[in-house]
Amino acid sequence: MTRAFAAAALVFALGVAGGVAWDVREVPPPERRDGYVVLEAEMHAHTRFSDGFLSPFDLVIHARRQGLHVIAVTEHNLVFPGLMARWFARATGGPIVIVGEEVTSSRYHAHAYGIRDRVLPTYDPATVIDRVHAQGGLIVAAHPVREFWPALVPVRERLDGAEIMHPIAFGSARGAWSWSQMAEFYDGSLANGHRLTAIGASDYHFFSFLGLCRTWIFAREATEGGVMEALRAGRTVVQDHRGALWGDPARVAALRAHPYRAKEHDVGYRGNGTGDRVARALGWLGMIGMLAFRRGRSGRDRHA
Amino acid sequence: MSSWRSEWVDAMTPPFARFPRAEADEVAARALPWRAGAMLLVLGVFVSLTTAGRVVPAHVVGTALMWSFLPALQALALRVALAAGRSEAPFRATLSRYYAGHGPWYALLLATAGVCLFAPEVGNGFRWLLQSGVLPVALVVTLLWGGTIQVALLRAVCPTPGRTALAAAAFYFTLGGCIAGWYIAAGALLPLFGVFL
Repeated sequence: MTRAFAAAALVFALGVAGGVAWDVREVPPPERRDGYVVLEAEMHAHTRFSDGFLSPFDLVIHARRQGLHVIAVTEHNLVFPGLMARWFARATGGPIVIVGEEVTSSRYHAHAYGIRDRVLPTYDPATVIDRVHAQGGLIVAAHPVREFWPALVPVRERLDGAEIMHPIAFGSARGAWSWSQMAEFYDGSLANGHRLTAIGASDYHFFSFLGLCRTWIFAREATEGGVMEALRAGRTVVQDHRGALWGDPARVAALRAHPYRAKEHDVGYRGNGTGDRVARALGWLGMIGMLAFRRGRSGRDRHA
Repeated sequence: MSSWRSEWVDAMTPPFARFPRAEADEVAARALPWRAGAMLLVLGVFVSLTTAGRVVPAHVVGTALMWSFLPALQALALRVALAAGRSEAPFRATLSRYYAGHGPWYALLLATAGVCLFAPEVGNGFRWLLQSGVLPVALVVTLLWGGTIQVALLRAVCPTPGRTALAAAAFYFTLGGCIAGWYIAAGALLPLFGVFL
């Protein structure tokens, strides 16, 4: 081991120590409004078992860091990552994990919440809806943009909910997808006399952005059963990117009378002060240093 | 060669034909645990920095465990490649050299983590990197650079250029096939192409 490598390892260790010291993962207790507890929820998150980076365990840890009371693990056509996350969350003190699946096909995407067994996509979304409901679960249209309307609109009034807030609202370009199409889908159902449960979700795959778009769930109790009951009853409110509120009219009115502010969360890597930022830089530099100063043995060994 | 240069920098810099022959087999074999571990450590640090913005042991360990399938798959693919290329090179030493050729990927991952840590506004930073083409080009360069290093390694351990090509094809077919196989088995791939089983 060279001195430079040892120095890099020391710098890295300081970064790790700082990472432990400044990593706050305490979720503030939920507030009450209108006789209900208001739970902040991320309802759309992936893991490394499909196209995400994080393990189900890391996802739970990050949810705590982002101050979330509830997280729905909605892996593409898989349920077991949600089961892993729920086991870990129960063993380590939360948050509430809703075991879900993003039923994913070329024609539509839909979340199944509160299921036990996975539901494979079929050509016919009505069959998927039946299979989710047969398990006592709820089915919610995921980012229902125009591309998915041919499959989803015919069954819209049989859905339990729809995403009304998604990162595409912030202009992250994704082909022909636009937030206004999601809003149009939601309003179209309202016009037909069917109010979908409003869901705000970040479609989380990687980086810090878990909880960027949230659902405020008005639950009778802060339990998994309480969350499912509230979702089934449609007691949710979602704030869009312009500050407008969507969802349960009674709860929206209550929030207008007694405004609610989302819990502080850091999706922009701001950190917790100068010490935190220095520790972050040390961890990064230390890792680079350990790679850069792990000396090659070429010259010596070529002639050995 | 100056003494400070790292084994990764050695592998990353031309002439690429040099690095597979630059260390004795027993030295390379001895370095295998460190090189495989370094790969998992870099992945863990990358995920931790881009998720939490700091190096958090839980994320580093969790990622290293949950992504350990990757070096295992690469080892399997290399084993198949060496068989296809009729290589008589010792497997442990060759695998160790293969891991030593990951420098371009480490550079890309740590540069990306650096953007998360140091960009004044991360979302806009990545949007600009994407829209200006910097990130896609960096990804393509990394793919080509890493592939060049790997082909240089296979060329050094295979008897003929033809066998080298066969070994490279076998490597990518095995690695890609295993990954695609997982997504097919998980039911996540075929429905995206309108195939409902």
